Amino acid sequence: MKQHSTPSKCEYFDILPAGIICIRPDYTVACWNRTVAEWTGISKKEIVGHDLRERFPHLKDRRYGIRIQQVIDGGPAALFSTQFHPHFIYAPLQQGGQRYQRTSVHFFRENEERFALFVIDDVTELVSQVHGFREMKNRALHEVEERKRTEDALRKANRQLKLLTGITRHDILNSVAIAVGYLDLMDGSSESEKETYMERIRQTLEKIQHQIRFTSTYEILGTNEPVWQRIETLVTSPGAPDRIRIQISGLDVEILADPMLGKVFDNLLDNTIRHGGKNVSMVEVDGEVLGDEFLLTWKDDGTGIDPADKGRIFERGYGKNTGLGLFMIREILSITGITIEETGETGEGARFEIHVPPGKWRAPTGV
Amino acid sequence: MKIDEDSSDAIRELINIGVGRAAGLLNEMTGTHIRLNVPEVHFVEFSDLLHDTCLLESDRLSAVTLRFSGAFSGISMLIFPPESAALLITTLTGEEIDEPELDALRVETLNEVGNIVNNAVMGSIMNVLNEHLTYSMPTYLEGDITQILDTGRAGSYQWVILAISKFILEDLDIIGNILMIFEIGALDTLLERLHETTVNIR
Repeated sequence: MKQHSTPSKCEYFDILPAGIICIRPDYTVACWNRTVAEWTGISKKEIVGHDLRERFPHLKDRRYGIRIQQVIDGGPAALFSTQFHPHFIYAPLQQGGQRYQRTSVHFFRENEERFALFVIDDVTELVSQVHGFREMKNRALHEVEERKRTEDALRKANRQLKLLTGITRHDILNSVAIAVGYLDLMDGSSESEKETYMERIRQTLEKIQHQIRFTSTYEILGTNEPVWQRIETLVTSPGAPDRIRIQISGLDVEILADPMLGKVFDNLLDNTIRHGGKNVSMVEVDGEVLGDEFLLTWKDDGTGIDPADKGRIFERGYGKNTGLGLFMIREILSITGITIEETGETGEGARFEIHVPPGKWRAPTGV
Repeated sequence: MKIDEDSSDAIRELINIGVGRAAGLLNEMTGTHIRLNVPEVHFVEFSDLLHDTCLLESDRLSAVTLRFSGAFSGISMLIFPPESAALLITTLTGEEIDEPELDALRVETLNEVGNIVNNAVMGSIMNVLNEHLTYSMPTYLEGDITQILDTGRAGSYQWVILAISKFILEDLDIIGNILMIFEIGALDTLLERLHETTVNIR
């Protein structure tokens, strides 16, 4: 232990709430105030006159050494921030963990002797508050983003509902006009003509019945907020006949979509069963990440889509059955910006590609 | 005052040595690969600083300042638009944030980065001159350039060395400015000392 005089300021440092350490150019401790003694559990007696680096060897590191030396040489103060140096010296807390510190090192001279003065502030409370604030801010931003997404989807769904209602009303009125037309024609027509007109009226009424039933399918479209849904569960839900095997891969993701998303896969399966031909035996459903988006492919081994139909299969009323299934699929998906296209080769099965944009898919939570 | 090419080259060289050292320290501290260079150094009169330098036009700037006094007096500062400062800090600390902003902890970290750069630049000049100055406590300031420069004291400032600094890390290029603002007569003293030193070395 080296013998030196103690700087005259040392006793004043004891009343300060900050940790104060004063060292000589050879790193021997000249002052060690009460606060730093309390924090570290090292008494003044134990450390004054000893090399500070014996207790805190990390200070030998160049990252500290160069900057402290510049101060000892009379240079400007050196600052050591909490983010880069959270625990400048080991100072445990009673409840566990360590004190977060903000440290500055200053030059001073007394009686021709040079000293470096370390001022260490305990910023544990500040750090905890800032971290709390950051978390709160992130949560708020996330919630705002979710809310915005939901509002967009609801707005879109509302627009679509209006559009669908308008189209259906128009279709029903057309059908009613046709039925009324046939009724008018029946006046003064022969028995065989009446029979034909009656059959036409019956067909028109069935069409109206179908159009009214369709409204019950879409009336709930977009009425609930989009939700995160696990694709694997929706695709593997029961419903496929025994002759069709469903093989899935890469579907361990969640998609943000209208709660009617299950209908998409029901309708795709229905499409495969109805239009895939009698030999259709397998459906492959694959998921893969392509850049920012998630691509979901539905592929069957049926007859595929006729080239003449390809461009129109998603149009309302187009198709061999009701002409509503694929149309509904497109509408349900589009609420959250998801798109669908058919890319299969005729004769080699139907292939639907569902493109899920970034922000609308994620790895499953709680996995 | 006429600043000859030799003096200008010497100042540019000293600033580059300083920022090189600062980059080395930041690399060691953060484990990131940061490069720092000063492609341009301009000498401008303080009165022209506010009109001629579009780099300082933003109405919100973040600055880490260091006042010095002695054989020559003035302020050294590292100055950024706050968005660039926040981006620099979050990249250095490895935080992954979409829209970084400066909070109390990041301001403190920026203060340390500015402290490292200012000290390295001042150290590089002082080493050559073998001079000792007195320094104030490094301070973080935010506002437009007039608020940062405390234009109430503008009368005592004369010349400014404006060093445009490029912080290159990962795939980012962040531009900051090192300003060394000299009080009346201080730049002349610095250049004289520099001239004497280089003559002595030759």
